[in-house]
Parts: sequence; C-alpha cells; structure tokens
Amino acid sequence: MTQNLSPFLRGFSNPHDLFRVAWDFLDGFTTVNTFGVSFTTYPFALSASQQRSNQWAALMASVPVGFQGTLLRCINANLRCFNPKTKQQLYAIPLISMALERAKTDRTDVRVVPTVITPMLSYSYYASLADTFGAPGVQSAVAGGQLLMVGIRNASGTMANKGIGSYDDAIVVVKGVGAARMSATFPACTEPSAQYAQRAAVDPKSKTGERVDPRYADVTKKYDKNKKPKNDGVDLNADGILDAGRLVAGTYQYAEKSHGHLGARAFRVGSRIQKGKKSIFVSGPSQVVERDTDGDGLFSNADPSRIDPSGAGTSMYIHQGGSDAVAHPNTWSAGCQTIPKNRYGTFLTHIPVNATFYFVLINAGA
Amino acid sequence: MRLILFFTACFFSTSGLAVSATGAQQTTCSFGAFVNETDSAGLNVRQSPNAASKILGKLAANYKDPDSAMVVRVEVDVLASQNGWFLIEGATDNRTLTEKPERAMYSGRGWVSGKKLAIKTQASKARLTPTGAAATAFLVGDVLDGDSLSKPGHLIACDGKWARVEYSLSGVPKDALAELKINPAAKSAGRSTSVRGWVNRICAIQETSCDGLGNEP
Repeated sequence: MTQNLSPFLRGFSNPHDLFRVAWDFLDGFTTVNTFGVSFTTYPFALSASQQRSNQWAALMASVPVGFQGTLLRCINANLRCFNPKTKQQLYAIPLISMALERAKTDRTDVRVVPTVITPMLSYSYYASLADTFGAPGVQSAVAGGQLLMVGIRNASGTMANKGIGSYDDAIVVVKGVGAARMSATFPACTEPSAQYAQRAAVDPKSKTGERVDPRYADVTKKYDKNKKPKNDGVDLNADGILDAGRLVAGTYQYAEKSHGHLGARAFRVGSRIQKGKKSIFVSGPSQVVERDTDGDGLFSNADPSRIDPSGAGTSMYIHQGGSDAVAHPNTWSAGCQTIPKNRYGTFLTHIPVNATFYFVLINAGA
Repeated sequence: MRLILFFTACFFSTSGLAVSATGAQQTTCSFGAFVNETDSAGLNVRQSPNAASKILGKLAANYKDPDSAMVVRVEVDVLASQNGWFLIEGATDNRTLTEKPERAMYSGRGWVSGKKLAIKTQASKARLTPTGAAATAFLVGDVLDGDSLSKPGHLIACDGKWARVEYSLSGVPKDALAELKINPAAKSAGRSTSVRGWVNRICAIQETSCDGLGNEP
C-alpha cells in the first residue's frame, strides 16, 4: 500500500483529475479492482494476472478518448509514492509494463489540447507532461502545486506567415491555488521568425534585388530607413550567414527579469533571491539553442552543426508579442517565447511578482 | 552637398579616431540606438556636434502605446561621437511595434545629443575602457535591457561596437542600484551622483533581446 500521503491529493476529488484516478487505481490494485470487488472473492476462475489485465483494460476505457497517455503518465507519477511491491505487481503484466515504460518517452499525444475539455482534465494533461518530460526537480514542483509553465511547440518554420511568425504553440501555466490545481493555456510562439533572418535581406551584391537566400523571397524583412537589415542569429556553421535559433526542448528555470521588457513584466532564465527586503535577479546559465544552419526555415537533424551552446547567451526571454486580434499577427520573436500582448495581461495575473519557476518546453508529437 | 562638406571637414585616422576642423576628437562606431525624446516637438538633428549648429531636421518623439505601458522609440544607426554628440542616420519608426504608418522625420545623417540616446545590451558588465579585458565599472545585469533606466541613462561616447553610458544615480530605482555594484573608479569625475562605463553586445531591435550576442567570457 502507500508509503506516503499522495502529494497529488489536496482534499478534492474530481473524476477528470487523472492524477486522482491513477492514485485510486494504484491504491486498490493489490487487493481490490476498480469496481470495488475483492479479488479474493472474485466469482470467476480467472488468474490474478488475468483479473488485473481486465482491471487495466477497464481503467483505460474509462478515460476520455485521447487521454490514455495522460493517465499512464499520472500512474507513473504516482508510482513514485508507492512501495516497490506495487510496481512489481504492475510490471509483472507485460501489457502494463510496456505501456508504462513507453509513456515515459512517448510524445505522440503531445499537443495543445482543445479548450472544450474540463479544467481538471486540462490540468492533468499538462501537469503530467511536465512531470514526465521535466528535469529532476520538476516532479516535486508538480506535486507541490508550485507555479510552472509548459511550452508545447508545433514546428511551423521561420518563414510562416511571410516571416512574421505564428502563434501556433502554447504556453500553459500550471499551478496550485490553495488546495486546488489549475492550468491556463495561452497561444504562444517559441520559434524565431524570418523577419530577423539575414537570409531574408536583399543581397548587397545582387543587382536585381535578390535575397541573400532566394528561398526567403516572400519574407517581410525588417530594415531600417536606409535599408540596412535588422538581423539576429549566429553564423554557427561559418558559411557567412547568420543562423536563426530556437531554444532546445527541455527544462529551464526562469524568473522575472528586472525592469521589464517593452513596458510589461518579462521573464529570463535565472532565479530571484531575497537579500533583506530586496529581490535580486541572478542570471542563469547560457541557453542551448538549435540553429537552422541549412536555412530551410526548419529546425531538424538535417541542419549540420546545429547545436549552439553559448551564442544565444541568456537572451531567450518570455515576453509579450504582437496582438493576435489582427489579421496578420507579428510574434516579435527572434527566438524568444512570446504571448500576444492582448492576452499578456491575463497571463501575468497568474504569475506572482518576482516569481521563479520551471519552464518545460516540449516538442509536439508528429 | 551639405553632407559632403561635413565630411570633408574631418579627416579620419586608421585607429577610428578623427579630428574635426575645430580640433575635437571624433570616434567612429557602428551600432543601433534608440532616441529617447519625450518632447512632442521631437529631437533636433544638427549639422555639427553642437547645439548652435544648423538644424537639418527632426526625429519623432517617443510613441506611447494607447493600450499598454509600452513606449516605442525611434531607432537610429550610430556612426560616430564627439563631445557627447553622436552622428546618426537611418532614423525610423519601429512599425512592428507601433502598428502605425511611419511618422515623417529626418532620416539622413546628422548630429544629436547623446542625452537623447539610449541603448540596450546583453552585456553583464560595463567596463572602464572599451575592451573586454578592462576592469568592471559596474554590473549591468538586466539594468541595460529593461524599461526603468531609460530616463536616467544616456550615451556619452562610442568606439567601434562599444558605447559609453552614463547614469544619474539619483534617477536609478533603488532595487536597480543594488544590482549595479559600482566600482568607485566608474564615478564620473567631480560628479559622485553618476557612473560611467563602456558596454558592447548592443541590441538594436527593441522588440527582441537579440539572439546571437552570446555570453561574455
């Protein structure tokens, strides 16, 4: 039975809280099936293994379509609180052990979930992703209801929407509010837009006004008044062209940066420490980015020498971007994580002043 | 013709220094800066680096976003400095941020006072001299990449990719002051209420933090 009181249970019960469903299943697994019938009094001559397989199948069928992966992740999270015997019994059934092991790395169901699902199902979904794909430390943050953010990235390419970016990703705030748990989802951009790419600039050697890279002909390039291009990036593969970069999927500790950005609060990799009455920002380590070195607008293994451990420094902020209430939203992202400014105020209401939190960035499944 | 006359009044040395006809040293540089002008009449661009010089045109004042606290500043390319004045060109509105048509303004070459220029940087330290090996003048942290220090800070000189900034300490918020960790040598001569330091890794785009400026050693 349980070794500890579940950290996921905070005095509430909700059928759409899959952490709770998982807990109840594990709590009853060794002796009682999900219908409350003791195995010892089970009327059919099924082996214990068969009974448990049936029990498992019934459990999986009980959750909404598309959330079986979430339940598996919730079971894995809760298993850490149970004694080894429970895990042994679960893993003795190949069907179960395979499913649980696969859930530790499987990203095929990673996506931005529809807003029509219930709040607790949404919370379970994103919190379980953070628990599964977050670095050590995130699990206790999830269990303790601490503020954290989950980024779901859909690879859209730097040239989307003529290079002004796309809000096709999501940043989800996950946290505890008193005894309860909640999540709030915001459209976001986690990839750079080609408007800041050197490849999109007019080639100074061209007499016909061709771009540095002809593939960028449709990109709305950012210039100053004298047509001097505004470029970001690092020439990582030494081909003479700056390469756009995006944050590598993973876990980062962010904190509210001092002095904001563009008139609003913003967040930078690091932490805040208290010195007397003052809260001091302490910068985190340089952020690792992957760069589009072949210039096709995508970030993939096809990009040679794509990992850049230092060129971005700590510049990959979380800040507001252009409004998405217009026909052609501009994300203002050269690699930062941006949220539309018309939604940014609501986003900020979820984040205490001078907060430090984990940001778990996950690439969506194919 | 006016610009040609202006440049023939100077001769540049190979070190990036030039001496004007009046004997004052001029230093060349190349980075982007922001015009911090709150007067709705705009900022004068002058023919020479002094306040008595002929006015060539005006740069637009800060644009305040009606829906938020965002302030958008005119962006310029900085080419040289002399006596606290800066040779700029290419002034333009940041239409990505204003989401408005470009305002009419002078975009050619000319001089503006460094008191009306601001920069932002990914540097963590300001140096006593414009080299990476120089002693630290003060810690920058987030101080030079944020909103709160635009008013008390301004440019006083430049050299290549470096800008020399001065901050009036009386205008610096207390929490920011604690982060500066000022080297006494950075205090301006005769003015204990301000500090000066050189920074590089300057970011010329207001809406981004400029990926690619890397970490300092």
